[in-house]
Amino acid sequence: MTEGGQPARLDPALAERAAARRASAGKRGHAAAASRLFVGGVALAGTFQMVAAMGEPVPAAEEAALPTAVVNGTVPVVPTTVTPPPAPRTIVVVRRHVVVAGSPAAGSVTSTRSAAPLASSPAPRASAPAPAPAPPPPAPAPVTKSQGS
Amino acid sequence: MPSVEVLDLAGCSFRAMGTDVEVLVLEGDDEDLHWARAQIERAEARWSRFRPSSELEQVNAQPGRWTSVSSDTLDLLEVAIAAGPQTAGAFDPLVGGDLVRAGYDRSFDAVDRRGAGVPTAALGGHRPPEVHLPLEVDRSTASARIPVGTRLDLGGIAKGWTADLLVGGLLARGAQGACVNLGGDVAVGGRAPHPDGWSIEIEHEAAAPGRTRAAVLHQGGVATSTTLRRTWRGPDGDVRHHLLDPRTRRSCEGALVEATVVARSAAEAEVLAKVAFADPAGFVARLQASGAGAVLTTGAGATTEVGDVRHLRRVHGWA
Repeated sequence: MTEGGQPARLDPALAERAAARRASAGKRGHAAAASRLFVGGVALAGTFQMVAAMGEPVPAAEEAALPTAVVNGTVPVVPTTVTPPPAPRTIVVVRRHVVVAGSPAAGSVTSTRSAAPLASSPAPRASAPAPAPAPPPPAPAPVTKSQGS
Repeated sequence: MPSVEVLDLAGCSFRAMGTDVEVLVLEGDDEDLHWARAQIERAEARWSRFRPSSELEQVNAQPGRWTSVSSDTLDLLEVAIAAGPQTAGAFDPLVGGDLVRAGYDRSFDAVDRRGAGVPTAALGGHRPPEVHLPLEVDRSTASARIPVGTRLDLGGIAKGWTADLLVGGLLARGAQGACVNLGGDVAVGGRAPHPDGWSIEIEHEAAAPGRTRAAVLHQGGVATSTTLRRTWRGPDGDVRHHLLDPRTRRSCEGALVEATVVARSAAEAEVLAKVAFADPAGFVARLQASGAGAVLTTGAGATTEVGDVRHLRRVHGWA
């Protein structure tokens, strides 16, 4: 959704593409597409920032297919804006062991803050595709175990 | 400026359903863990083979007759019934009587590991014709019926089903993510503590020492079945285990000793892990039809990954 309702000066072809993209990519894709449109010379980058902060930006292939800017209904070859990369985010997981008594359910609860493994969010995705297939990433620290039974 | 998000991962562990239980909730409440334990105890009270008062034993006590059961039990029985034709009979919840004859007639901790059950010659054999009648449920009367000459055993699938239900319940209670492990039947859902997903270590008792794998997924289930645990000897000294082939009604034989399956749910993973032993020839086709993946380990320590293995990662000891 753009500020003030309808996007300005969208030509029919672009409007059709935008509609198709909205249908396939859903709300998030729509927000990202809208973020790249100029309306009255103002780039709505704020919407995109919000989407990026949610950790699920539009896939790179889809993003590359989007117009980078629209001026008077035409798509210039050279991008005129650069969206800053999302700020890196660090996730700290604090694991606690809670002693839960058996029934009756009103048993006592004690809580122990015993370990604080860290899990960082992945690095912001580069705009260029990876040059070669990378080996699978290491598995995160296991939280539990599937032992045989 | 980098932002920092602190997530609370609270967990509890205890014994229930004859096995080790672990429940984890991400950004939940300690009361969620209370609730989960109460649900697990309720499931055990309903579906244990070793409690005469359980709904399962009430059904087992009246073969050939309709017995009233709860809606939860109806749901579970319908899942078990559906698994039969889906696995061409390699999964059968009506082998409870065969387990009893083999010697697994009480909580495994109390089984005499040196000589339980009937002699080997008395095991297995063909079922009488009436036993080929199906397990039935009737929603209109909330009741279930087993054929004469059979007994229900819902041990494995009840654990997987319970784990699946609990994850859904914990998320409905407001937790952002949940992981429930009932003796190796693991269900996960919601937000994971790591961006890649919930990481579940796969314990290979028979694999090469030092080599470990993990299943990493955001939603679904993992189950491991093995012939290396819950083993005992019959009165003739033969080694028996709890994974029965419904066709021979004896412990499954073959090179396979461990099977870990990653599937859409813990119940499905549990069923498929059983099929790996009971129908090795048809297992891969069943696995692929379900879109699941598996790691199979032989007694010699060789491991094979089959099916959709995107969720399986090698952790340690791999070149």
